[in-house]
Amino acid sequence: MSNRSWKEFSKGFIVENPTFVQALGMCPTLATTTSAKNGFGMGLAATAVLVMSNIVISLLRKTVPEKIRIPIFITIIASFVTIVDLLMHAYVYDLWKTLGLFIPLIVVNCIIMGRAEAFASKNNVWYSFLDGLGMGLGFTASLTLLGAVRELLGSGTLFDITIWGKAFNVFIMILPPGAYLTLGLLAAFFAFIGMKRKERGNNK
Amino acid sequence: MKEIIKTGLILMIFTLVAGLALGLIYKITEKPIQDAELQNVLNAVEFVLTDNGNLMVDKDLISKKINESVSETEKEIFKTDKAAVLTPVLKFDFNDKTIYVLKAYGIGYGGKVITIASFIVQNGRIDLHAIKVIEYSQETPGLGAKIAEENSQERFYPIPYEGLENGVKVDKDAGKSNLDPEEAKKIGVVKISDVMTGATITPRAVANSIQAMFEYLKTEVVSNVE
Amino acid sequence: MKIFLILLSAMLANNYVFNRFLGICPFLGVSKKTDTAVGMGFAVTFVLVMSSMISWLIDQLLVSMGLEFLRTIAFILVIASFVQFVELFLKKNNPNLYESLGIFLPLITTNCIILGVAIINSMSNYNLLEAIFNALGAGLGFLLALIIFSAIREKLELYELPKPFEGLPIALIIASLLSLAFMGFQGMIKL
Repeated sequence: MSNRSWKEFSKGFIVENPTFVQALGMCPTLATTTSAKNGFGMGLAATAVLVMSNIVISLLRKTVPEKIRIPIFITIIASFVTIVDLLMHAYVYDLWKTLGLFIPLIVVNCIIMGRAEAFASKNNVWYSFLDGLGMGLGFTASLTLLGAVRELLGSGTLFDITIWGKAFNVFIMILPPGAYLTLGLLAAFFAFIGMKRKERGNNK
Repeated sequence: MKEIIKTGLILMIFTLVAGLALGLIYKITEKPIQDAELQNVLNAVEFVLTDNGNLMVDKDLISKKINESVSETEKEIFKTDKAAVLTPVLKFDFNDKTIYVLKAYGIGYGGKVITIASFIVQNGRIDLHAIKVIEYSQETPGLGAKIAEENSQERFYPIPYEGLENGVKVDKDAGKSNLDPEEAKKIGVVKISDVMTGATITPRAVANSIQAMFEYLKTEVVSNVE
Repeated sequence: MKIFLILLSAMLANNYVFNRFLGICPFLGVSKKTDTAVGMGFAVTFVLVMSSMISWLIDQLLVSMGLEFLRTIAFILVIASFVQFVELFLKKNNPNLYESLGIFLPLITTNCIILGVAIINSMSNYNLLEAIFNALGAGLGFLLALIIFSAIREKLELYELPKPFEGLPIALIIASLLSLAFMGFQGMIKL
């Protein structure tokens, strides 16, 4: 893989992490991370839409008139969301049930529109694909991390496997306030790491 | 003017292509979606018909009965002010008893909570054997969703005839939060406040559904037989 | 009576921002100053009510034709065009209002509370009146959340925070506490 390809792919994980650094797509991030599994599933669904819409938008970037690009992007994204919704309904029924409302809401996830506007409409298919994949997986990783922390503290399990079970449960972690709290603390942690890195960079 | 027509046309073409593509995918996934929904109901019915790990009714008979009922449209056959019983009613006859599997919904958190339950009718008694919640609204993630967990649902069954006659209530409404879960069932109280802290709407909907199903059986089915 | 309950429930007990996680992006983004927060809140409420009405009608049409799977795409297109239309209309006919609300309008299309409420209305089988009141409650709840939140954040500017907590993290932690407070309304309403 060339240097540029690697850069486009890997930026989504740490440097431009959509959740902790850019604070995009907060609604599904907070709502679906009641467990690691749900966060992971939500992340993958969004990744699928992101990769496909990035590819198609990049392919069409020269044919779409500048003035009406936004409605066309929305149409494309909404189509892929519906496709993912139908496929999940058919083949991963339980996960589809759990994510519920938040699958159609992928349409208005700022990450997807943001990547279409900022990247896919300006770059070729290969880089757009890598960008979508990297950002999507970065999003998935953040959601899984958040879900894992909440599940562990809230129900004492991890990916449905009992770790300490009922011995230590902070039930509030599963409820809405726990979502905000966990995300806040994790974002502070990432900011802390970012600052340490910068300091080290300056000392060199 | 020409410009507007041109952009309008481009937009229309995009929407049309998108619509057609979606129609195609919809056609492809239509059957698997139906199967998935059916499998969900089938699993629930098998679950409520299980006794000590053994299925009380032949597996093939269950899927046959369910497949027969698929073609019918869902109807409300019995209504209380808080819940309603839906078709189909599955009936399994034995020498000494009859088992009914019913479906009912109560209004939960901005949506329906649908419960499937099995009742054993024997010697003029109607006992609740087991329940399975197959649908609950997903608006507040994490809160009502606890109902999907088995150790929450176990608090709802079995409830003997006397308890059902008393009226099924969640412990908060009955004012009896200090009872042992098993003791509570005997008087028709579902102890749930310790496993579903803060959420009362969803369990209340399930309790109301159970009550509606019991009343339906008592007034419309069993009394007609005797 | 029921519509009143729906209104209160959407506004307080099940506040869309704190308990249902819809409309978080503008909530975190625009809520640094109270006056912009109020402007945004009113713009969202207006678009919410109008678009809920339109999407309710579209939904009836789709259901009657058996095309429910097109719901997502139809709703989002309707919302996007409606927002665009309002923007053009205001620009032409009421420049003053456009000055104060117009800047928020482009942001509203991608505000998930609009699409979310439209979908919830359709999932809950609300009739037209219930749908409108649900949307109104959601909008007022959003406005309330924005006002409370921005007022706290204005004060917060004056305090010294540990460096890593500045900006987003502290905002989220405040949201957590507010969400806890709003959960207290939950016992109030039995739907």
